[in-house]
Amino acid sequence: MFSRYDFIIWIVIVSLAIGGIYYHQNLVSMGENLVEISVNGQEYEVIPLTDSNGNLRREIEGVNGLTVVEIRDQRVRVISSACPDKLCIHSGWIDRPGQMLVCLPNRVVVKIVSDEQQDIDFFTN
Amino acid sequence: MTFKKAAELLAVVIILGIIIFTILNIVNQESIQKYSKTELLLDTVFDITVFTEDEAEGNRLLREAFNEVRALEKTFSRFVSGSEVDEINQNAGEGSVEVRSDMLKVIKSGIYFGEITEGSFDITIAPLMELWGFGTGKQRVPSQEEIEEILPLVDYREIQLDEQRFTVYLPQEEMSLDLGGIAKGYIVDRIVQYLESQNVEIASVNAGGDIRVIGTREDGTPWRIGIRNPRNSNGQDIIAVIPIVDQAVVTSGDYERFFTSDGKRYHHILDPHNGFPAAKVISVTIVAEECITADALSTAVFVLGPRKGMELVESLSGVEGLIIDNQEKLHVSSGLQDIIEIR
Amino acid sequence: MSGQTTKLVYLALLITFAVVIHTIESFLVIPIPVPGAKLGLANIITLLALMLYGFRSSMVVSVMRTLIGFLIVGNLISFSLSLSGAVFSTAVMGAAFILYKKKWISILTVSVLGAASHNVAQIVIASFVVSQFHLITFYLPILLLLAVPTGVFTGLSAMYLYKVILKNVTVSHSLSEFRKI
Repeated sequence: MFSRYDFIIWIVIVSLAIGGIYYHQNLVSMGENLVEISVNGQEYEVIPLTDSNGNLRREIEGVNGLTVVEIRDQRVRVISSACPDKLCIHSGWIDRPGQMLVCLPNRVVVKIVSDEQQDIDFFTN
Repeated sequence: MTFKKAAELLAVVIILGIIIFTILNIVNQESIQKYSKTELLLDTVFDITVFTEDEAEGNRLLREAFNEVRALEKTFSRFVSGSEVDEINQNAGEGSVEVRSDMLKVIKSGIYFGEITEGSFDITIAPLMELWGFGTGKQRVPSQEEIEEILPLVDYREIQLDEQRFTVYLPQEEMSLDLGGIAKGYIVDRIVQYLESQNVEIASVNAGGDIRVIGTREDGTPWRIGIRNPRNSNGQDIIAVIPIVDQAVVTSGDYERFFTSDGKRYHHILDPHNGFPAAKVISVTIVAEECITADALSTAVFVLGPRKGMELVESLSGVEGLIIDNQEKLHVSSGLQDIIEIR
Repeated sequence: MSGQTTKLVYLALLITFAVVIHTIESFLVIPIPVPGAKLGLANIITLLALMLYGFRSSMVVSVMRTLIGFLIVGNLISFSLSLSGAVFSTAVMGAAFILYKKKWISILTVSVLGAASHNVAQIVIASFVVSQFHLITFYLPILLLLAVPTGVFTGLSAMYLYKVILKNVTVSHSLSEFRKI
C-alpha cells in the first residue's frame, strides 16, 4: 500500500518538524546573559553581557545623580554613584545570572538575567 | 460495516487521540512563561517572579502584588510618617492606637517570638537601635551608661495589645516599636498568600534576601538557595546551597550592616539583653514554612548563639537552620543535614 | 435519479457534514495563540469529495464549508484562516491526488500533505493577521508535526467513508449507513 515516495514524503515532513523544534529550542537555550539596568523600578537599558569585550561604560541618571556602570570581560560593576554609602561600589564585580548591584539611594538596580535555568535561584543576604 | 472494522477504526481514533493529546500537552507546558519584576521597596530590592501561561495574567499578578506591597509598606515602615507604626510610637505613654488587623497580627507574632526566644528577639528594640545610630545613619558606639539607661525600655512584655478593640499601647513614652525584623517576612507571606489565592502554582518572592517560594521550579526540582559566605567580601561567593519547596529562607549576617569605630566592627544585630551586637555567630539561615517565622528566628538565633540557637531550632516543628559561628564552623539542623550542599 | 442529481445531493450532504465538523472543530484547542485557528479535521470531507468527484468538486466543498462556517461562527480572523487553509490544502491534495492515481503515493500521504499545507497556510496567514512573524519559526515545526497524526486521522476517516459509500449505491441506503457512523 505504501511506496517509497510515501516514506520519503513522511520522513521529510517529520524531520523538518523535529529539526525545526530542535533548532528553535537551541536558539532559545543559547540565550545569553543580559545586564538589566533599571531606575526606580522602570527599565532603563538592557545590554548583552557579551557586548562588553570592548569595555563598556554607561552613565545612568538616577534619582540623586549619576551612577556609572562598567561592563568588562563578561562582568559588571559600579564605579561611581551619587549616593552616600557607596554600598553598590563595594559590592565589586558581578558576573552570574541572578546577581545584582543595587544603589538604593539613587534607585538604580543593575541585574544580570538569563532565560536559562540557573544552578542557584536566589542568594541570601 | 462489520464489527471488526468498527473496532479497528475505534483503535485508530484512540491512538491518534493520545498522540494529539500528548502534543498539546507538550505545547502547553512550553507556554508557561516566567514574569518577573523588581522594585525598590521596604528599603530593599523587592523581586517577585510568577510563572503563568498568559502574559496579561502574569503582568496583572505582578502589578497587584506590588500594589499590595506598597500598601503594606505604608502600614509598617517606621520611617514613613503617618504609618501605623509611627502613630503607635508617637502615642507611646499617652494613649492606645487603633490599628488594622495586619498590624495586630504582626505585633502578636512579634510578642510570640519574643516569648519563645526568651527575649532574644524583641520588637521594642527601636530605642537601642537608635542609640547606636542604625537606621538614622549617624552610627556611634554608645557608653555603658547610655545603654543601661535605654535597656529597660526594650521589653516586648510591656506592649499592651487589645485584640477585641484592635488597639496597641506602649506604656512608656520613650518606648518604640521596630518591626523591621519581622514586617518584611510578614509582607512576603501576604504576597505569597495573594498569589496562592490566584491559583499561581510556581512563584517566588524575594525581599532583599527574605525568600519564599511557591511550589518547585518549573522543571519540578526544588528551588536552590545559595547561602553567602559571611567572610568573603567579594560579594556573591556561596558557602552552602539549601534546596526548598513551598518554604521560606531568611539569613541574618553580621556583614549586612555595620560600622567600624577604633578598629572594631559593630554590626546591627543587637542583643536585647545587654545592648551590644551579638558576637557568638556570624551568620544564621532559617528555613521555615512562613517567612515571618524565618525572619524573626534568624535574628533570635543569631542573638542566642550556636548552642541555644540550635536547641530552639530543633524544638520547633517545620523549622530548620544553618548557623555559622564566630570560628566559622557550620552547625546544621537535623532536617537539613541530608539535603544541604556544603561548598 | 440521474447521475448529476445524485452528485448534487451528495455534494450538498458533504458540505453539510463539512460545516458540522468545521463548527465542532472551532471548539477544539489548537496550539496557536491566534483565535480561530483549526486542526483541519474538515479535510476528511474535502478528501472524500476529491476521491468521489474530483478536484473541482472538492474545492467547491471546502470553499462552501468555510463560507457557511463563517456565517455560523462569524469571526473574520477565523474565516481568513479557514479559507486560506482550506483552499491551499485542497490545492495541494488535488495535486497529490494525481500522484495517487498514478499509484506513486498512498491516500494517507495525500491526506498528510493536505494537513501539513493546511497548517502552514494557517500559521502564515495568522502571523500576517497579528503581524508577529516570530510565530512562524516557533509554531511551524510543531504544527508540521501535528499534521502527521491529523493527516493520518483524516485520511483513515476518508478511506472508511469512501468504502462505505461505494458499497451502498442507492441514496437511501447510503444515508442510513451514514447514520450508523
